[in-house]
Amino acid sequence: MQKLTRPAPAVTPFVEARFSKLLAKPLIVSGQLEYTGAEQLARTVTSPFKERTEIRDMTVTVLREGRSPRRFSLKRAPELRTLLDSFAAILGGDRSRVEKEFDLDLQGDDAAWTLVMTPKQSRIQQRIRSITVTGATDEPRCLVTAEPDGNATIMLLAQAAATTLPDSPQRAWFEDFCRGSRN
Amino acid sequence: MTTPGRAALLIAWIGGVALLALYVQQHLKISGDLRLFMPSPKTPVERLLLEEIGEGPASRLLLLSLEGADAAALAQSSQDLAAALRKNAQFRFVANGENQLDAVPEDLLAYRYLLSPTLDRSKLDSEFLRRELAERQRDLASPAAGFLEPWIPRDPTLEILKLIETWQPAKEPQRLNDVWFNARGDAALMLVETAAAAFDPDGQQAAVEALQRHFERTRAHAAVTLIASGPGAFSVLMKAKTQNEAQWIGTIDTVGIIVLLLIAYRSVRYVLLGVLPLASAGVAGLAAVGAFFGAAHGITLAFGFTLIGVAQDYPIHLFSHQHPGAPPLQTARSVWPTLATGVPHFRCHRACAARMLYDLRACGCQSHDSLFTTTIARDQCPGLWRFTRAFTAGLEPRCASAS
Repeated sequence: MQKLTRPAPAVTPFVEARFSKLLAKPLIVSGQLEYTGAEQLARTVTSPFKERTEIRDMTVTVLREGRSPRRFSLKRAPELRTLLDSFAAILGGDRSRVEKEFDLDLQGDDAAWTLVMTPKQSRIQQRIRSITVTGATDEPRCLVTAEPDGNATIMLLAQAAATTLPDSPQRAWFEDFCRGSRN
Repeated sequence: MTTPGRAALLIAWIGGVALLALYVQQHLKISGDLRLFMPSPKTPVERLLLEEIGEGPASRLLLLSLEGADAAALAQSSQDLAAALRKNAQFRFVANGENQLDAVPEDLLAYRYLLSPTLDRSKLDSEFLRRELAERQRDLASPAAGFLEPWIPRDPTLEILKLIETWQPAKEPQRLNDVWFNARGDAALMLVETAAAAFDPDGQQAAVEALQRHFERTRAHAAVTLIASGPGAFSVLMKAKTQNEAQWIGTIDTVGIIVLLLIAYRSVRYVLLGVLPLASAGVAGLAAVGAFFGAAHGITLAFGFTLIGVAQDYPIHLFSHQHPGAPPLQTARSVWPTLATGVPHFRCHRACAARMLYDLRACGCQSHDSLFTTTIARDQCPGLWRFTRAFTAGLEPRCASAS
């Protein structure tokens, strides 16, 4: 994990696919993540629409064009909280902080590793089953947030975000891609 | 009257009192609802006022304060307690500052389109729906997806969210860790609305006990303490205090009067006979109230029994005028006219005015009279009770002396 450590601010492009029972096909958005410190993260979506989410002082602000900002507490969005924590783990190298909230399971070697984070608190478990981060050497590739009801968010990070997606990518494609069986 | 005849009369009397007591036990409901003392509402405004006093949300609110630990532990306790109380049917509404989509009561949910201004401004046409659904699609891709998603199928335009935003108070306690805190930040604040009315001490007691139980189970830290305030909590305190005081004062009174009678008459038989008018009067009064009204307030009973001390005077008058050798019936005949003036209140009134009675009796009369004729419009039953009681108790010494 130490290898992944980099000084803040760390900026990485991302492609995110949201799989939901409400959606006939996955919703795919892309943009940029800025990790600016332990408790701060900005998520900017540039395509297919523009939106910016900022986490600061435990508050989440969602800014969307033509709409008044929507604010809510980070506690209301454990998905985001865990995302922030996993960034702290990956980029900040702050293992002890992350271990307070998650059980960590790191497997593989430098060429291909997998970090599975399972929330310890039952309240968070109700919303998030696990977060799986995969990567190679010092670069993360995928961040998969699995929810108990079968919904999931799969995020491709760094170089993986530049990958050309197939026309109508299915969940299986993303899962294979994250395991490293596709490039 | 012969000795067996006297014994039979005594047994019949005691039997009658016992039967009446059984009737009272089965037919008279003792209530703790203070609204029994309120005047009957006549106008719609009075009806509304009375309804709000007992049933209105303001009177059913309990203010809670969680103290004694750091802000994080208090906030955690506040959230866990709120979650537990929301599942309990004894509480209609729980607020702790958390912005919860499910904080809107289920029965208001059906009216969300009526309450929200959205459809006052735009028509619910295909264009509007298309725009809203596109927004929801974006919501699903946003970090808010986790808590919005369960609502999207049943509320695709998220009216509930608009309602919550509209209802957000302009001024509210500061929020720390997502929940309400006092200005110093050392107490987490909550509001709960009980299902029981404020002046229903039994219902409130059950609610306060449930509250305490949930608190014990959910508190994040052993140092966290719970303080509850509000009309409901007051009525529970009042009930406990009055019950406690009534109990020990009543016990002292009873012991006192028995000791006094024993010292004065040095006869257990006199004491027992002396208690009979009081017991008969009490039971007869309660039976009458039970038959005509069905329910009486605990305070009415306590107050009634205070006044009924008068009934204790009848046998005392009889016993005190008793001379050795003189038949009790003769003594009763000589004091009976005076005692009888205390029975029907109109005679009592005249007697008081004429100052014909003993001072003590006159005072007794005045209290009877004023209470009987007083226009506590909704509380006619104490009047009836006192009347029946005085009548029965007055009748008794005559019968007792006859025996």
